[in-house]
Amino acid sequence: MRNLLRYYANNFLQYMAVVVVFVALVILGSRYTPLSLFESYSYMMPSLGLWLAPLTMAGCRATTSLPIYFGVRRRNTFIGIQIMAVAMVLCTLALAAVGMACIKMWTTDYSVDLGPEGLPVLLAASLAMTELALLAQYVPNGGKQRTASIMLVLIMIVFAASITLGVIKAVGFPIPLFPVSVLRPGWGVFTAVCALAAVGGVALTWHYYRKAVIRL
Amino acid sequence: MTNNISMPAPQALQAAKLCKNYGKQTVLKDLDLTFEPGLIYGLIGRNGAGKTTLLGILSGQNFATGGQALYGGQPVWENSAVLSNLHFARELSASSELATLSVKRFLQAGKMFCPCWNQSFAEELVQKFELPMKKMINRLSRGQMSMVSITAALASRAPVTLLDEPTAGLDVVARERFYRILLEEYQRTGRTFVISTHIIEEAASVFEKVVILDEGKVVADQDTEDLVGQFRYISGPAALLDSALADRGVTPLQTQVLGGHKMVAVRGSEELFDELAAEDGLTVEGMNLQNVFVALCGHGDEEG
Repeated sequence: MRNLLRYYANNFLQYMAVVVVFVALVILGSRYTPLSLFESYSYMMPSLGLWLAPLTMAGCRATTSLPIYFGVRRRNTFIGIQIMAVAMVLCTLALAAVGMACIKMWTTDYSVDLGPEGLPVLLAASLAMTELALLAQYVPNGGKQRTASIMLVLIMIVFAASITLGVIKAVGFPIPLFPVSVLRPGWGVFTAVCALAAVGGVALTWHYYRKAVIRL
Repeated sequence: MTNNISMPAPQALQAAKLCKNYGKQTVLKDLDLTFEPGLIYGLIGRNGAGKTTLLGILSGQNFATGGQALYGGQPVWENSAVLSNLHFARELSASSELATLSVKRFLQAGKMFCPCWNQSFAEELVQKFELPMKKMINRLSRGQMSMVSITAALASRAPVTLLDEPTAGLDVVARERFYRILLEEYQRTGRTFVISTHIIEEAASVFEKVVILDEGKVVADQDTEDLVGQFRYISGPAALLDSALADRGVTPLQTQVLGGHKMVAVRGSEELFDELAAEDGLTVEGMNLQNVFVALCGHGDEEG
């Protein structure tokens, strides 16, 4: 298990390096350049976990299959993947929060406000997306399952896009949506649904992963 | 054979009443088979015979619909103690899934997870095969991909190593080199090797025992020489040959007819072959492993 954790830690660090560079670029870009591109990305910052972690997980089948190819138990491999997924989401959100704080410190008209009550909402949504991304890879290749898999990916994209738009105040969404807080009834229900989707995703992924044929 | 390398002694790998279905298609049917330790096995069969599926299940990389795989009497499935003794090197594909994996990273994973991994041997093989370590696997040629999986398989020093089409895409020089390295490794370690291949004649001299799969069932499992010794081509005038076979109650496995001349593949004993050779007008010729395979799995294909 130690080697497995080391293996996933390497993958995690590579992912984190990308996130750190991205956040740093956005912070520096919005501080020192007048480019609207960086401003747009700075408003997307809260939803970073919704995109980066699921996108990485969506292309990691070889990474997740490799330990099994070399004789590691599926159960251990699966636990390793889950630890990595949760760590990726948590660290991405933490970095996003740091990034937003930095931008706010330096830019007077940055109006995104994500308090501690908003983080559980994004955490649940990001975990749900990450688990669905993993699930999409292990859905078997039958005709119906392939359609389901494509639908799943489409739903994920629409879902992530909706939440991203939802948390960008700049697009002028109605006031009742803000602030994003788990303590507001609408967001509370949303968080609960996402958490359930994440748990369901874990269970379904394990169901398929347990019997998946390992191909590299 | 000498065993001077530090690794657990190989044990018997067994398929016990294995079944595998993919949807409605049955690939393996109640398959019973034992790979004895310390031998080189050839696993041959036609496309779709179930070779890769069998090797996948035996190594825990595929799930059996029924029955189980056992190693030293213990179940293989999700058994860490057993899985660390097995390595299944399958043909790598240039799918996008491998886009993120370089040769170096692939072999590093082997080093990390295979308890008997021999790094200096891995480096030696990388040099011998001239593998580009920094290249992504899906950018390699088919032959180079085979070399990567061969390198991992041999360097894993797993007591039981299963190789699925290891020579796919290799040129004749590389194939010869592979078999030479394999035999040297076998001499050094006494590991069990199970090699599935379609290039039968080239590998026949390497196999100590051969297992032939046909439509998900084992149709032969014995010493290569003994198996080949049980088959002969008998040829001669069609009428004479037919009556000679009918008199002895022999059913030909494969028939080729050219005008009034006929040649059949027959399975039998030395006595039978001596009797047929003694008949005027009949010729008895030996077969090689490839001919035996065609006779057993060709389902009586008649060629004119």
